[in-house]
Amino acid sequence: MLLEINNLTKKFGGLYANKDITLHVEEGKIIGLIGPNGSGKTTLFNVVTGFLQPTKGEVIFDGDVISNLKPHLIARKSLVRTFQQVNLFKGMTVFENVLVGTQCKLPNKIFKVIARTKDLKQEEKRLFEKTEYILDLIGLYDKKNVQAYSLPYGHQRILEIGRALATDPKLLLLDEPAAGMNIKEKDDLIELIYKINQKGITVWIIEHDMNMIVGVVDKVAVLDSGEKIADGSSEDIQRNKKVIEAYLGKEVI
Amino acid sequence: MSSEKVKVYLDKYFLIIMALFVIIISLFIKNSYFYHILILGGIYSILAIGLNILTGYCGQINLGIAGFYAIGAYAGALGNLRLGLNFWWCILFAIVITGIFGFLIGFPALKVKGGVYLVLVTFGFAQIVQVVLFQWISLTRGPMGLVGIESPQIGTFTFFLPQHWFYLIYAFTILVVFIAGRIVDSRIGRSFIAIRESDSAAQSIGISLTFYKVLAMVITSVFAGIAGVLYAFYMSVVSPDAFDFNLSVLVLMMIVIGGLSSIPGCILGALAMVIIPEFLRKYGQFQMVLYALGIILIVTYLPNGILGLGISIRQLFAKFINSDKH
Repeated sequence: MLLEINNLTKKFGGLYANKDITLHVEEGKIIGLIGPNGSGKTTLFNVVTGFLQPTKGEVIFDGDVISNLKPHLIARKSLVRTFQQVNLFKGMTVFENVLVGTQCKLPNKIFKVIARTKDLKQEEKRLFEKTEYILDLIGLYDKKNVQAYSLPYGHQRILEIGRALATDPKLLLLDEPAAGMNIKEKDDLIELIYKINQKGITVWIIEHDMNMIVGVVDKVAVLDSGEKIADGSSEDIQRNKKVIEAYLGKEVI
Repeated sequence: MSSEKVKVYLDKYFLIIMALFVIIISLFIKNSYFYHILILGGIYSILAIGLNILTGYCGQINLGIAGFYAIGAYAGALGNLRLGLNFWWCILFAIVITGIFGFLIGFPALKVKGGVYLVLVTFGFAQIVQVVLFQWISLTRGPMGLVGIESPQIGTFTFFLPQHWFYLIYAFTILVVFIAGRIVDSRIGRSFIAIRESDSAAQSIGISLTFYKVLAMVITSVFAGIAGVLYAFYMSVVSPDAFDFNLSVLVLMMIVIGGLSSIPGCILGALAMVIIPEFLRKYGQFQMVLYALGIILIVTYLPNGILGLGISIRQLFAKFINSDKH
């Protein structure tokens, strides 16, 4: 298992945001995470990626316990996430946003950077090439010099995925990547996710759009009020009584 | 690094233009008062460029640069007067001392959640430094200050004329601009800007907030230290009253007016803040009023500063106060 979440609990004061969640993500798959609003999906992502500390339980990624690591260390271990609200470097161009991502795993050789040694310049050249490759992959190459804040919303979300890809992830966590997208954009997104997965990257997606989920994922886990209530293929989930209740009992999505 | 792909913060020709300006001015200007103003402008430019690294690029507001400036100045003064170090060794000595202080202050201050705490810690630090300099009489002679700092020498040549100082100070200014340019137009600079733009996004792609924030703080403090030594040797006297909170605010004003995250802007801002009060002197009592008015107008109508690139002071404050909230 690439990612093992074992008996994970996250409390805020007296409130259980995540309660005793056990969930495994198999390498090479595309996994979904669904649930009504407020069921604890983003909290789970935050705990897994180190932005929050678990109250109880552990997270094991690629054989290492990552439960108490800081976010940047987890990213360096190739577990990278995107955010529910677009979280780009707005003051940078499209190109620069992805470029910063390519720096993820490089050691901080300060003096070499300032001295601009030859091998460093070579490295920079490779980073630039990698950035161009990723921009081409996500379809934003011709927008590379555009300021990130002036991109249309759908492209901003794609750019954030591109930046995450630049870090060479093994596991990519996408938090509601299709939110606010139109149908064409969602189709492009699905295609992109397939492309990413074909490169061997495991993808774990939080989504509300059922069609997207059903079309893309191999397996789905369902949260409700902080607990995992179901786990299986998309067909099984759609017929699962508890899942249907969870959604109909609350706001219809 | 090709400029069509990434934003370049220091144009490669800027250094050459600066050097040309220095040479042209030295050929045509004979007035020593004019040199004095330019020299102060050069020293303040170094302070401004230093602060800009931490504040303009990395987005961390620092209200205590006067403290590092003071430490640099006194390290230089004491190094010369008590340890017999010459000017050049004092520069090295000050770099080490201010670097250490930058690290010691940076580490706890930047780890603390909530950007406002950094403001308070840096403010408090600078106040403490000034108080210590006033009170630790056996070390610093307190308010009487330290006098008789020797003029710098290279071999048998001594720097004592205004023109000599002009060249020396601006040699350092150009060096600082060069190094700052290398830092900001690099992956380090990109990491700084990433942190300024979004703490959380930066972390999510592997950037260590602690490492880069502390690095920025150390760079800023080292530049301030260098400026301090230059000041101490130029004036050949140091006293604690020069290093007060007003100075920290003044340097912040310089980078705001010149344009946050613009290196040429820092120099412009530094020169403006030194030259303009001199021009306003003829208005006597109204000097301060006009000065303040000018600042208010610029900040209101040119929020990105005169040469501003990328971010206005309002955006900076907003980001800074909202950092660590995701």
